[in-house]
Amino acid sequence: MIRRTPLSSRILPALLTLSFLLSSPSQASEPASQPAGNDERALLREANRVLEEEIKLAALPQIYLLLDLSARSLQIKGRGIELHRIAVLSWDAAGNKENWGGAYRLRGRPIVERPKVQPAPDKDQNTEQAEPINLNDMPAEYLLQFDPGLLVNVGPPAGEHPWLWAKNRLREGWRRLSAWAGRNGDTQPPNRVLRLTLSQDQARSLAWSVTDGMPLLIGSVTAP
Amino acid sequence: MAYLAKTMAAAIIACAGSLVLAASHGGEVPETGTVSASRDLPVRRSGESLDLLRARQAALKRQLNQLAPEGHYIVVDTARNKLLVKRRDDTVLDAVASTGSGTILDAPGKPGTRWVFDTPRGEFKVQSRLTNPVWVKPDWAFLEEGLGVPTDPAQRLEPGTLGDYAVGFGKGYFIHGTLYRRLLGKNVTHGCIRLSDEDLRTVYRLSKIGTSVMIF
Repeated sequence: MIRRTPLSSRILPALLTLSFLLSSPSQASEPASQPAGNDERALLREANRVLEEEIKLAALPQIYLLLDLSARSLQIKGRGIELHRIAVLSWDAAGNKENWGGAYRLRGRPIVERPKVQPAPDKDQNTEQAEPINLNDMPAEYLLQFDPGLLVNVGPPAGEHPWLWAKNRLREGWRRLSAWAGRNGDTQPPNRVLRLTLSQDQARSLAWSVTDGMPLLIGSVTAP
Repeated sequence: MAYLAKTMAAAIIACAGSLVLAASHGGEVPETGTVSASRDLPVRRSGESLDLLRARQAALKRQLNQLAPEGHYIVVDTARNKLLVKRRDDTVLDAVASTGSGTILDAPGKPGTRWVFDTPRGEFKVQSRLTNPVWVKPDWAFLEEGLGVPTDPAQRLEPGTLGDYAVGFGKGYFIHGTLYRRLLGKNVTHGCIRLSDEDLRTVYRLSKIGTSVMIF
């Protein structure tokens, strides 16, 4: 027997989510991200700040992410060396967008459905057993929760994948609403949201590469 | 026989054999850390001049460059199954590899015990360089085939499957050879990194204990 839920209880969360999305605090578009006055001194200060932070990350045995908003690039780095570069098609931000501060740490990577190996005789390494995961198994739209207080919304261009884009926006709204209502254990809701538009392949590549606890450094400009 | 015993004593490896895990294992990411600024960095003050800011930037770039590995280092791209040996910005070797399949094996009759066949991500150091390695088959290799785990350690030894060399980077993970070249370029391993014989020889030759292995 199918129990029908009252229409209001289904519509209410959607309306709340939509209203939360629409009531996002001031949106930052790309030009607004440039340091105030856009003068050379401000650019140098910002680039130096990012370098100072990166030196702290590169001093440790770890892989980290460096997001350069002005160059629209997301680099996977270790010891200051660029290991891989992901092109960012566009971005926008909500919340405090003046100072991106120090490094953020990823709370958890996107969930991936992992195939299970079924024990069986006559298995050897010459046959492909359980189908391995590959890039195509990675999600192309997802949320990355960083500490402290940063939600990164990764998704494809709205024009190319409108359904994925809309789904991700709704998910973002629901996550922020849940955090705001204290339903997911957050001590405080994310006060910043960064939306990154990546190609489907690049979004999957990023989902593959991130690991729990991975640091992210954001700069509105980095040293050339 | 004596030769085999000698070889085994020198080069027996478990090859990711100790990976009894309850959950996925990621790279080694220390919680926090700081690094003190070099003494030659110009001090930041309010109202800095452009020259001072530029000088500081140059000094910071030098400091960052000094953190890069000296000599050769290994980069592994697990998404695209590539292994590079680099020296500064130069690529010395660009090889097709096989890395972890990402699949899961639940231990039969042991709820909560499972193996996740991922290649670990992060920065590691070469800890061992072995010739003629002998694979010590771990528990999962038997369980995966529906077999019981042998009590006699000698039944775990399998010479010849790992190629001529094995370069270990910790926790039972190795860069080694393979009998199945047609699977190179695919995510099929239990966490180790497989290479062709020729590429493995180059990696062995160019690496030394302490060589950096960066995996993403």
